[in-house]
Parts: sequence; structure tokens; C-alpha cells
Amino acid sequence: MLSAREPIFAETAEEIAPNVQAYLRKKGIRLYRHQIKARAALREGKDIVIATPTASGKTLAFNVPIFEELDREHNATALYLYPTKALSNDQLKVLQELELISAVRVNPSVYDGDTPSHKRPKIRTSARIVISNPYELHHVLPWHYKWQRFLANLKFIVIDEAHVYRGVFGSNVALLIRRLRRLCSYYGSEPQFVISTATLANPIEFGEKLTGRTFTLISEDGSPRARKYFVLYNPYADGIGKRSAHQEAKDLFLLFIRNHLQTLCFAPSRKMAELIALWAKNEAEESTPLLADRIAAYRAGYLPSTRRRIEERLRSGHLVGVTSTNALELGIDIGSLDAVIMAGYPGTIISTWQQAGRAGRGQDESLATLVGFHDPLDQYFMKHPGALFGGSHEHAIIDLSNEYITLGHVMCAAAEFPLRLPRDVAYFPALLSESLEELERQGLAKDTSNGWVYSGSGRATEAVPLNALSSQIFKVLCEGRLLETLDKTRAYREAHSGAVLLHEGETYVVEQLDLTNRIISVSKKNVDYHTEPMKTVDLRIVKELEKRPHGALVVSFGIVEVVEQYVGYKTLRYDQVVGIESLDLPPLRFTTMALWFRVPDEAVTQVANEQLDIGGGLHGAEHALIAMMPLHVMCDRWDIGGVSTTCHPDTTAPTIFIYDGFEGGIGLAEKAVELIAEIVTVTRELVTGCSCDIGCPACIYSPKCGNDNKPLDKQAAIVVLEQLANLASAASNR
Amino acid sequence: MLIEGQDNQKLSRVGARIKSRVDQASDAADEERVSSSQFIPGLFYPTDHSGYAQAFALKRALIEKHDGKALEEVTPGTELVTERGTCYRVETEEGVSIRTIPPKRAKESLLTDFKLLHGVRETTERALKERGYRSIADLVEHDRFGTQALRFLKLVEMRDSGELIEWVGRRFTRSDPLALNASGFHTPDQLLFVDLETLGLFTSPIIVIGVAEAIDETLTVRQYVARNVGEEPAALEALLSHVDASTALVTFNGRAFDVPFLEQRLAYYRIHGNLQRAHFDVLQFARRRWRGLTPDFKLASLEKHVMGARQSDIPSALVPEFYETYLRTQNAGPLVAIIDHNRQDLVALAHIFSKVCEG
Repeated sequence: MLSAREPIFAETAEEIAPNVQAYLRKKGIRLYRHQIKARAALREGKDIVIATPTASGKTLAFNVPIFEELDREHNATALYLYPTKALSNDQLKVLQELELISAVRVNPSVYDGDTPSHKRPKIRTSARIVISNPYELHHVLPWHYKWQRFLANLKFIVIDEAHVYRGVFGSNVALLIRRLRRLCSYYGSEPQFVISTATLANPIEFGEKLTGRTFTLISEDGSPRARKYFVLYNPYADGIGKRSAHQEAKDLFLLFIRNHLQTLCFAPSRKMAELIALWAKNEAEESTPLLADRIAAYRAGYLPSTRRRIEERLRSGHLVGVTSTNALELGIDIGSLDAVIMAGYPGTIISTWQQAGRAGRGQDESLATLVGFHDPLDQYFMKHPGALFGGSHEHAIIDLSNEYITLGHVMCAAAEFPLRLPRDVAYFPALLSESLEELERQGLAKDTSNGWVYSGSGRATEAVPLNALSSQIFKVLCEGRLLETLDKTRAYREAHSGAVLLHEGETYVVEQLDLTNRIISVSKKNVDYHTEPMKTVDLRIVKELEKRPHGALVVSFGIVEVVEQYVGYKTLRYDQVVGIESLDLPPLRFTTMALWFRVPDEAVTQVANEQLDIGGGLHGAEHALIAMMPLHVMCDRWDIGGVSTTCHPDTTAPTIFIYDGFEGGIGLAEKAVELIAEIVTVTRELVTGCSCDIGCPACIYSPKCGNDNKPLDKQAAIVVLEQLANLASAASNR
Repeated sequence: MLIEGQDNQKLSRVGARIKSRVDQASDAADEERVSSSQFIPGLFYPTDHSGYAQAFALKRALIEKHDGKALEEVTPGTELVTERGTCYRVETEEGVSIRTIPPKRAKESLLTDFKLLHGVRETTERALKERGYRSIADLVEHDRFGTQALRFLKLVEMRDSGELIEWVGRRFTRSDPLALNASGFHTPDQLLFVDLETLGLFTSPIIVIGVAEAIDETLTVRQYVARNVGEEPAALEALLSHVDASTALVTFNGRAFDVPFLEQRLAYYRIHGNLQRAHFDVLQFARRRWRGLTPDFKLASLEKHVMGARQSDIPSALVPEFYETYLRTQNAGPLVAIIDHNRQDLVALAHIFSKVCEG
């Protein structure tokens, strides 16, 4: 139970501008202490990072001082960055209302991929608050001259939901922000930064890495909190469990709804979000048909209009139960709910608290329930709740010295206006001159008397993706009507022919997956089964680029191809398999860079002698190595993948592979090759020193394992890691 | 030492990858250009592979022909020195006489179309004409349309072609033949024909800025060539030296391409210059003039229709490729081909402009 707390208000040292005061009065708002502190810090010209919990009034904390400044300074402008278009549109509504009531003319406008081209010039010349996203900003920066007025008067840059920008994506955004700052200085402005983020282990450092500025932390939450119950619900408490965790989640969902709790249930996949809603509706249909209509599913892939409608119906209270993917985890305005169910551990402590934070309104008590799945990771949290409540949040890591990422953004910066040394070292503290020289060797930049100039023939920004997002979009058509869109991997996985596609609680059967035209034809059929694809994953070495000895441990680095083949699918009624069909789909190929090493025979022998499981040992060692990589190579755990096998055809030995989760590779495995001795050593220390018995999330359990953390054998993993560490520290025998 | 070697190896791997991504982006942009129905390129595009094959054969021949020779030997010109560095100027004279719309005819066309006034449509125009109003000049005392008529009349009398184009654009479109009449208020020597050769679509450097000016029966073509990327600012300065208060621009698709491209490059180097002025985009007028008569509205197709096909030329999609070959080999051949191509484009532009003005 999280106890209730009274609000902590504070008085302002300097009076709030009358216009903005009018807004607060009309809305009946009194500012909390953290909001007052944020305002004071901004007025002193400081950059702030606000890291208070969900629903503590973070938005107001920066909107108040920004409106005051925009009221005082009639040309001043502000840029708000959100990670998604939906969040931008939400914020637009908030700002429009603020403008209306306060009568501070700021003409807030969203400028993103959905903004029609005829509206763009007006926004560029007249909007004082522009709301956008990093992807749009990336493509807008080369056109800075059209934004001269906006940039020259830029006073604030707000980066909301900033915790999303971590790992490789975060490193890209961090360099994008450097490009923006360089342009601001070109036009003579020096905006203040406001970073708003979920709770992190390292908010100040994160802010500095993300923007290159120094931050004041606003973290003491002054908002009131009603009592909240946090339940860990373990269907497998007896070690067996009668029903699947999904069924249990559905039962809880219905139980809450029937007891008049407006409930949001987070599911681990789109399909599970749909299934839990569908099962719940079907069951409600039998007893209370009216209730069935008040249950819905929500997820990415739905058309924006559909999503808006569900959000609106959730806010108005018309919907009493919604199942969702993590699409509702970020701050989309759906109001606050009575109860949240998390069907399975969401993968990070950050997400767990974000999702749990969706419950709790006003003075009423609320409920958050985490339903434990059968896999070892979830079971660990069920047995060790302290890891959720007392444990620290994740670090948000950003790397400013990754060659792949830096080279790309240096090139983009050179295409915006000529780079100069040493002036621009301030924005690219690492690798600037090295990058420019390499770009010159590739014919992409030239050192001229006007500075370093971009000299490539393509648009620089198009060669630099910010994220590993698939650009191949498939359309799902039902009788010619567009139902939703899917990316390629999802289309293979969820929309192969014969698959049951769930959409807004209705079942559709896929008739054809047209790979050439990227069209999925479905027909609406009422079926009582769902499907689950079966796939095989193979990793093939394409080319070994380097062999690096560390002591006696030899690590290879090279290009690999990860091949996923969807070979068939199962049809299931509830959780019962009722049939298996085969599929004839071409394999999905993904080329990236990897490091790999053979596990010495001694380790295999020792594991066998001690009657341990070598498969579980390799798998566990792989997970633990991946867990230790982010802090060494500066990335997010989700940026890297791994495969371990007791005998790999290309190495003819037990082998562990660790690869970059980005097409073509992004330098993570490459950097790890240099640091592998260190990584192996600390990983061994971690696992041997971990006080758990059979493994835990702090050592060999992975939140993103494709095999549900099976098999795992902690003792065997220790043997493998000991042997590797010994090799690494042994004198090279060359 | 070993570490340094490895770092270089790593950076060059990263560099090679980004280079291939830039090339992919560049190819994708070309495809977009070819397939897009809205964006009609100014220049010749082969849709078949034989066009490319011919162009590569041409490139090989040029390289052989110019082996070991500098640009300055092959193409006579002068080195231009500006405040922002140097560039290479190639000057040629062509026997092309530019015909414009006679000012009297232009004035008459503009003043007799009452629909140019806000609130006037076919029926009102007919009614007004039946009541004896013949020209917008007659309407200056009219209760309802007088103020507008007076303002319009002033623009015509002041020969403010830029504002007139915008006026026509507000009532109809800027590509309406009526807008072309505004060119009648310029003497041929005030027209500046402009055509660019660039390394890519937007945010890439410019290779050649070609301008042409008509004096009497002669078209003087001046091309400002960047022999390397560092010479681009001087070429931009040189272009601006041709622009004064009375200049009107004539381009082929320049509203969508050449002018925004130049503006982006000027801003890139922080060079001040205003290209927002009277601008006649011949593509727009040609579309109306030859609708249905040519397979498409590429400059080459129009040129073929109006004045016959060119002898030898390179496809514009290959300009970056030719320029990169020139930079790599320092063989003048491929650059000479680009300069020739640009000059022929300017001559064709001048011809087609004259033709649309003839009506």
C-alpha cells in the first residue's frame, strides 16, 4: 500500500502574471510546491528537469512560467517536443485552452508529418509555440532559414516524456538537440531547456547528456496522493497455476469492472490486449450485455480517429474497461482511473511505475495490480516485491561518442550551415574533426574557406535514421476499407494467411498477405479461436571482419544475418491448441553486426561433470553479458540482442552471439569487442555475487527474452563465465 | 599505434556505410522525381536504360578526349574573384532574339478582364460590359469595385509585374496566361533567365548557376561554375550581381525548384539577397499552351516540340554522377558536359519563353 499524502502548496516569491493568474483562478488551481520551484528556477534562467510522478502536474509546472514569459516578451517563442503525434495533439488542446483563458496570444500549433503543406508557412511565420516531434525536427532543421523568426526568438525548449530518448534513439536525439542549439546560436538565441521525465536513476546526468546543458532537478512532488493499493497477483503461487495468466488477468479485469472500478488493463502484446477485451466482452455478454459495450481494446495500429474516440469515451466515463498495449503508458489524456492491471511485468521499473500511475484520481483510493506470468522474471518479482518498491529505477543512457551516430549528425549539421573548428566542438565534444575528415574521404564534406561544407548528393537527413523504425507499412483492407496498418515484421507475425486478426474486439480472418503490394486482405468472420505463429530464428555469420584476442579469449566481430522464418501457426481456443497449419512465407532477413566467441571445451566438460545444463548455462551467461553491456557500451538493453547455442554450424562449437538491434549495425557490438575482457569480468562478479538461488532479474533473467527465460541454469552460467574470465585474464599465448 | 590503426579502420567502415546510405537517399529522390506527377523536373530524364547507356558512353568519350587537360584549357573562361572566394565564369553568345508581349497588348489584356476584381464573375463581368464599362480603368469611380479597380490600375501603370503576378495568382492561379502579360512590362534586357545544375535535390551544393540576358538579337549566357564545392559562394555572389530592382526571373519550374534551392544556399552561407520578385515560371505557362501536344512537360520534350532534339546531351539525373567523376579524376570532360547541358537548357528556356509570349 502506498499511503496517502496531503498536498504541499507554496507561495510564489514573485506574483504570477495577471493573465496566467486568471487561468489558474478559473480552473481553480493552486500551485504545488514543485510547480512553484520549477517556476522560480526557470525565472532565474536555469534549465530544469522535472522528474515527479505521473499526474503530479508536470505540464502546468512549465506551462505557467512559459506563458508568463511569452506574455511579457511579445516575440518570444517556445518549442515543445513530444515523442508521438498523439501526445502533441493532446498538448495542443491544453495550450489552446490556456491561450483562450489567459488571452496570451501564442498561436500554439502542431507541426509534424500530418500538418498539411498549405498550413505550414503560416505556422512558420506566426506561431509562438510550436509542438513537434524529433523525427519532424530532424527534417526541418535544414530549412532553418524559413524558421528564422521562430529560432531567433526561441526562449524555451520543452522535451516532454524525455525518458523515451534513451539508448541509441536517445543518442540520436541528443545530437539532434545539439544541431538545434547550434542553429539557435546562429540566429542569436540561447533557449532554456525544460525536461520532463518519468522517474530515472540519473535525471540530472541524463538531462546534461541529452542537451549539453546543466540542470536543476525538480523532484519533490508536492501534489496530493490518495491511498493506492499495489497488489502482486501470482497465479502460479502454488508453482502450478490452474489457468493461464491471461485468463487470470481477464478475470480480474471483469471483477474490477463489475465492482464499478473504471479499469485499464495493460497487456504485453497487441494480440493479448485484443484477446483479453474480447474474452471479457463475451463473458459479460452472457450476464450483463450492457457492460459488454463499455469494454474496448486500445493499441497502436488503430487509425488515429479510432484512438481519439476511445480516449474520449474513456475520459467521459462511458467506457469502464479498456485493455491496452503500452500505447497508453505515455501521457495521453484519458483522465485517471480507479484501477490498473498489468498483465505481466512491463519490462522496466520505469514502465511499471508509469503504468501503475494511470490509476488514482483526486482523493479516492486506487488499485494497481501486477499479474505475474509464469516466466522466471515475473516470478522473481512476485517473490521479491522489494525489487519493485525499494529498488532503483533504470539509468537512461546516452552515448555521445558513438562513431555511427556522431558521423551521421555531423554530416547533417554540415548540411545545415558550414561547420567550423574549433567553434563547433562545443556542440560535438567527441569525434568532430575525426568525423569531418572521414566525411571528406567519402566525398561527403569539404573543408573550404567558408568552413566545412556538406558535399553529398542526397539529402543528408534521409541517410540518418533516428530510430530503428520499419518504413515498410502494410495496409489491412476489409472489403476495400482500410482497417489498420502494420509494419512488415508484424504483418508476417500477425497477418499471414489464415491468421485471426483482432481489431476492436472483432475477429477477422486473413485471406491473403500480398507481399508485393503490401496489402493484407481480411474478411470479417465470427470465429471462436485465435492463432499463434510458429517461427524459427537462425543466425548466420556473413563475414568475419575482425578477430580480437583478449588474453587467451578470442572474440570475433563481423556481419551476421538473423533469419526469422514463420513456418506455421497454431489455432487455439482459449489456451487449448486445436490445430496446426503450415505456412509458406519467405524468411525475414535482418543484417547487423555482432560479436561472438566460442565457449571453451573446459567449460562444457566441467558443466557436464557437475551435471548442470550447458544450454541453460550459455543462455544465462548471454543474458547476464547483455545486462552488463549498456553501462559499458552506453546503450539501452533493448538496443541489443543475443543468441546462444550449444553448437553453431558456422563455428562448430558452443557459441554466444551478441548483436546490434539495428539494421546494418550501430557500433554497439563493435565497441563491446574492445571492452569484452572487462565486461566478462564484471559479469562473472555480478552472477557469482548475486544472492539469488536460481537466477533473478539482477543477474540472468532478461525482460526481453524470446524464449521466456528458458532454459536457464545459474550454476552452469557461473561455470561458463568463470572460464571466460579466466581466459580473458590469462596471458596471451601468442 | 595499433589502436589508431583500428580506429581509422572503424571510422572508414562507418564512413563507407553512411556514403552508401546517402547514395541510396539520392537514388530514391531521383525515382521520386521521375515518378511524381506534381514534380516535373526541369530537365531531360531518360525513362529507358538506353539513355543511361548512351550517357555513360558519352562520359567515357569525354574523359578520353580531355585526358590530362584542365577545364581552363578546354572551356575558355575567366576566374571570377568575389568577396566570398573564386569561381569560374564561362561566357558565350547565342543568336537568339527574345520576343516579349508588347506592353500595349499586355496592358489591354490585363485591364479588360474584370474577373481580376474580387467579387466579379462571368455574369457580373458581362453585365458591367453591357453597361458600357470597357476597361478596369473605367471602373475606378464604380461604387462597389472602384477602390479595387484603382489599385489594380495603379499597379498596371507602375508596371509592378511582381505584384500583378500575385494579384492574378490570388484570383486565378499564377500560371494563368494573364500573369504572363506582366512580362510585357519588362524590356527583354530586364529578364534574367536562370537555370541551376545541382548535386542533388535540396540542401546539396550547386555546381553551375547559369544565367542568360538578352540584348538586341543576342542572348549572352554566363555560367558560374564551382570547380569544387568551395567555389559555390562565389557563384551565388555572381548570380546576385545580375539582380537589381528591375530584374524579373524567367525559369523552368523555378518556383518549385531553382528559387527555393538558391534561397536555401544563400541562407546556408549567410549571403543576403532577395529573390522574391517578379518571376515567370515557363513550365506553368507551357503546360497550358501545349497541353496534349507533347508526351510530357519535361523541358527536353517541349524543346523537341518547339525547336527539335539536341545532338548530344547528358540526362540531368546523371549530373551529380558526372560531377563526382570530375572531382575524383580531375578530368575536365564530365564537367564540360554539365556546362554544355546547362547552356543548352538556358537557350531552350529562352526559346520556349519567346514562344509562349507569342501566344
